[in-house]
Amino acid sequence: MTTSGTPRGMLFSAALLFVAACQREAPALPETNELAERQSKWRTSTLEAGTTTRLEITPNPYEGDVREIAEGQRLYSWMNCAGCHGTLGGGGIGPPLADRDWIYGGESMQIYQSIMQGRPNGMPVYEGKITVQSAWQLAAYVRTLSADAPSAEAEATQQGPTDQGTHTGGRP
Amino acid sequence: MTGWQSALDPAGVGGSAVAALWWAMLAMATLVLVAVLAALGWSLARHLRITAVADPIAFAARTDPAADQQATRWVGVAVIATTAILLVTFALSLGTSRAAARLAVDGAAEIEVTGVQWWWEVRYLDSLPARIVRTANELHLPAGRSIRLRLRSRDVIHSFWAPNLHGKMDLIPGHDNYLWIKAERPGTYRAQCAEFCGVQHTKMAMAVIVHAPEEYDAWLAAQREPVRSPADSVALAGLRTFEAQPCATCHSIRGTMAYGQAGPDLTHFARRRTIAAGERPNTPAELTAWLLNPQGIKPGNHMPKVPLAADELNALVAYLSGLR
Ligand code: HEC
Ligand code: HEC
Ligand SMILES: [Cu+2]
Repeated sequence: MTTSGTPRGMLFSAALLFVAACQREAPALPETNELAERQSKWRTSTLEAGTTTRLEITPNPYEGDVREIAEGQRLYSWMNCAGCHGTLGGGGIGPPLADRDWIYGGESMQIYQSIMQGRPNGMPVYEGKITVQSAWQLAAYVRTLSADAPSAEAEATQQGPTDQGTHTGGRP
Repeated sequence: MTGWQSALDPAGVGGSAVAALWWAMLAMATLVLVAVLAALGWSLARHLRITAVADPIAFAARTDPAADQQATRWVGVAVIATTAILLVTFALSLGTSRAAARLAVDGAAEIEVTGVQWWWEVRYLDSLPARIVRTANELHLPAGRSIRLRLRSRDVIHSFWAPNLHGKMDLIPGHDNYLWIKAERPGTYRAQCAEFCGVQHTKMAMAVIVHAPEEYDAWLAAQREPVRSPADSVALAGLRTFEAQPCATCHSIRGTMAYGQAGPDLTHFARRRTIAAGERPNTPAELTAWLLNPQGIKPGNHMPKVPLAADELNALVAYLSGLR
């Protein structure tokens, strides 16, 4: 067992907590140039929508980082993503983002591209309107929206092949 | 005790009432302290007298109904005095609240102050929407007029506190709080967020400028004007940069293509005294530092570092410094 419970143990745990809390406050952001470099490694267009295999998959530097995800959440409402995709990604003018059903792919990098380059059926281009860093924060947040959604296969076996590919309106 | 952020240097009706209450409570607390110290001194002296008695234990064990009665009487006096002090302070603080509440008048101008992590949005309301002025990080008030402040928050609870002018009041998300305020002495004061609201809470302040009434009206009229297009080419390049870069997504400048609402309005930015909610003086050098790395000056704040080329940066600074 641990020493917590004794006054000294409690003091020690408190100090540990304190130190941990301090670390949370200092955002360790990758340099913006590094972010731009990651971005430039990818192809900017493919002929078919939703290719996942041919693009080099670049991980989101902010994946799982609560501070950056919170910043992404703020941007999601500031940049009016909510206006088209719904407050929690439930969908509206734009497709739902809170399910596992992606048109252009649900990898961080693909979401990043959906945001920065836009998508033909009404997704605006955000390149130049937000920083590279903001786009990664948004992508990290968007990925959390579907974290609790059942996987595509699980949903398919549950419902049978129904409205695959139609993306208007909210979630069923 | 004087200063631009001091409750003891009142410059408004609410502030004077708070200062009067503060001094009254200090006087009472001083009296109580003196009385308690006197009682302590007396009992110490008495103890010395008792230890001088040949057999202190026997002395302590003796029964002395007269002394007991006297002690009971003193306890009674202390209880009555404590109750009286409580009641008097209660009455005084009620009086302070009433002094501030009496400021309400019909047809007073209304100013909306919205707390945002970690800056202040200020809107000078008007029945004509086109005359509403939206600015940030500075509150201007006319001396001698009652003003109704509408306090709101966009995210978490903040608190508006300009100690020279009034007591605190919280800014609560989803709820409007109202604070009547009447400044009396023209000058520059400082307001500070007084409710912990996140990493940059300490750096969420603003200047409160109290003008003579005519001066205030002139200031407000000037704020209503959109900005003129910059004359020199560097500043013009700055405007183009501002519109082409992410800046315009977050900031608004009336009379340009910048409509962003996420960050402070920058329409008459060059007239403001500070940058980043009171954190730095508004000089070209400080502005350059802010644009180079806002996260270095206020780590965790919601303005990202926008990568800028040197000429873009210079142009932006020239343009923003000319927004008078
Ligand atoms: C004007 C409405 C609108 C706004 C604003 C908008 N979107 Fe979209 N978005 C759409 C539409 C419509 C699509 C579908 C495009 C298509 O099918 O070609 C889409 C597609 C997407 C996709 C791809 C979804 C998939 O299934 O592959 C992502 C990710 C996305 N948007 C994220 C965002 C984010 C993040 C924001 C805010 C920065 C945002 N959108 C703002 C309308 C919008
Ligand atoms: C994602 C939104 C966002 C973007 C993009 C952005 N800003 Fe900001 N800006 C903010 C926020 C939020 C603040 C308030 C920061 C604080 O004080 O906590 C701010 C503060 C400022 C201030 C200080 C204002 C004051 O009154 O204190 C200036 C000047 C400024 N930004 C200029 C710019 C310029 C120039 C650009 C483009 C290079 C830019 N901003 C890009 C959100 C943004
Ligand atoms: Cu605060």
